[in-house]
Amino acid sequence: MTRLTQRLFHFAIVILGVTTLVFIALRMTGDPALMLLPGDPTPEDIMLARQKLGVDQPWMTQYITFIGNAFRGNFGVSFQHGVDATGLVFERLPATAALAGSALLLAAAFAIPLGILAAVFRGTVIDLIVMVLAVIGQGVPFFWLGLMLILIFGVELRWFPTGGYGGWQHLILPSLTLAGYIAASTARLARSSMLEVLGRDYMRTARAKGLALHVVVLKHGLRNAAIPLITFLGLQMGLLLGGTVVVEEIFGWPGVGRLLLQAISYRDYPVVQAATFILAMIFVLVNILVDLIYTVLDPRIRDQR
Amino acid sequence: MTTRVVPLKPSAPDVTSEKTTFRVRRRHLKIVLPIAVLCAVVAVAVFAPALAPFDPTAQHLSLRLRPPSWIKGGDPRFLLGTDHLGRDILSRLYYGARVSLPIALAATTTGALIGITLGLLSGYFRGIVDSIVTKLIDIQLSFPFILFAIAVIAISGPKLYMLVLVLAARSWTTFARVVRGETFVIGGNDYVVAARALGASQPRVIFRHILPNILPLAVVIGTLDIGALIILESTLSFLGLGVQPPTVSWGRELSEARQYIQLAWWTTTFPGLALLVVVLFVNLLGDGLRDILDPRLRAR
Repeated sequence: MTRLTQRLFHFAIVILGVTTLVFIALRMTGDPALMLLPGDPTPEDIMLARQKLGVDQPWMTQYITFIGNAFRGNFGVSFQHGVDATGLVFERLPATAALAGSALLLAAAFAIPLGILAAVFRGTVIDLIVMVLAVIGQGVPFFWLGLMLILIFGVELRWFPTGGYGGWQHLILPSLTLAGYIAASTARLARSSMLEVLGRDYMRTARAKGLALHVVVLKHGLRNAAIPLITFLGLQMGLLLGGTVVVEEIFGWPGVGRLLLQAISYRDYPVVQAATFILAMIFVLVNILVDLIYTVLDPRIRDQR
Repeated sequence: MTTRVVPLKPSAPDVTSEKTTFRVRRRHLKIVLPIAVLCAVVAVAVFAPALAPFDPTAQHLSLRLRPPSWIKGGDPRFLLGTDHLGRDILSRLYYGARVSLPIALAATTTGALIGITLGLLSGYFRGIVDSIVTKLIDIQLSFPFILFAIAVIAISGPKLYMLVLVLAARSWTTFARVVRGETFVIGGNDYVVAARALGASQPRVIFRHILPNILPLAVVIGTLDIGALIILESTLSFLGLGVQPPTVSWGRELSEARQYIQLAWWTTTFPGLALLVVVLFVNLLGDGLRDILDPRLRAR
């Protein structure tokens, strides 16, 4: 097996595991029929509703039907909205993608240069400031960061709207909040991977042959430090996708996360399953992409195949 | 406040030169401050009934959303102001300390028990046990955990033991991963091989020869994990899925205060600051302990 097929196999198992977990968790308690029927339903009403929703079948049958349908992208009809669950999720996906994508870019754009600076100027005031910021950043609950941003830039200064969906102004605060969630750990990792690279012989050689510091750091250093960093950012996508649920709730951002929270409280099985499956797929696709980026960046991996 | 210095064995037994002695002491300094701050937080939590000026649930409806006492319009009796029901914010902060730390501690302990056991088994026996454990860890790490937590709690209902179990489910992978790796390494050491050659039973090898060497590492992981768990607990409480009223919790406070953010900045600011301080010093303690107990981890 080549490395890539091995990875694909691994990801397939991960997706299967995740969907199974969600399937089990959703069925631990709670009857969606009871949630949906108004007033005081008769036992016959409940029976009918359960039949209609397909939750009267044994678990195993439900599971097999579910897995079969999942791979065709068919998660059934939303109990709550009466429309295709997958469609509902895809409708909300652009908002979540904009939020997670801009947060990832923001975090990378600020944290990586800061981490590199801290590594290059190790032991100086710059290093100290970056590390202190990182330590504080890791202690801040990110939903509180969101509230503080609303308070300062929304309520006091009135620079940005405090919530809702619309132009780029609406995106700034949520995406800063989400970026803050991963920025501190990204900066720390950028610093430590750069530090490791800086000690290498080829860096000394590059300096010795008279190249300027910034050329050496950016060309020789960053290319080598990028590999652990990109893996890390790929894995951070999991945190980001989870974080969007909370951030979307705080800022009233109409993405998959809010849809999912609502669906959970209504026990809207098809929507919960579609949303978790699609989020897990996105995470897996990002990590496959990361694997491909590696092979381009690192000839040692490229030539293995 | 008196700072207590907790005596710790120096990590290097060959502390001879003046320079090394100094370095060891400086490293210890790094954990003195966090320990002092956390002791203070624990003291506040324990003595909350004596320290708090008001009952945390006592409502003063005529004194709602009063600003902190040092600001114009503030009432001198309410140092940090009052919330939307006229409850004293300072008293609620004190009582909130009784929730976050114990929950995180209970969850880390549960997670440590599961994680260390599975890590030991998978690192020692390898083979099928190992592939199952590593696949489980992979699946869990590949999924936004908070989604899983939200789903489980939303469905089982927000019970305290469920909250601890969910947090423990997040925590065990960290222990399992690191302990598994360490067991691989330690299991190949001469003294372990020798113990086995002398006829020690497998449980004896695992518990007498491998486990004691892993415990310092587990303490470090546990401490670093508590901070993350406190944040996760407050996030779940913020979403209404964690600690339920009338129990006071900082995360829950923030979710109630959120609606009044336009009117009263103090209601959202102080509970968050309390969380920040606790998590910050727990993390600093973890960093300091790591430097002392396991210098190899420092680069990570």
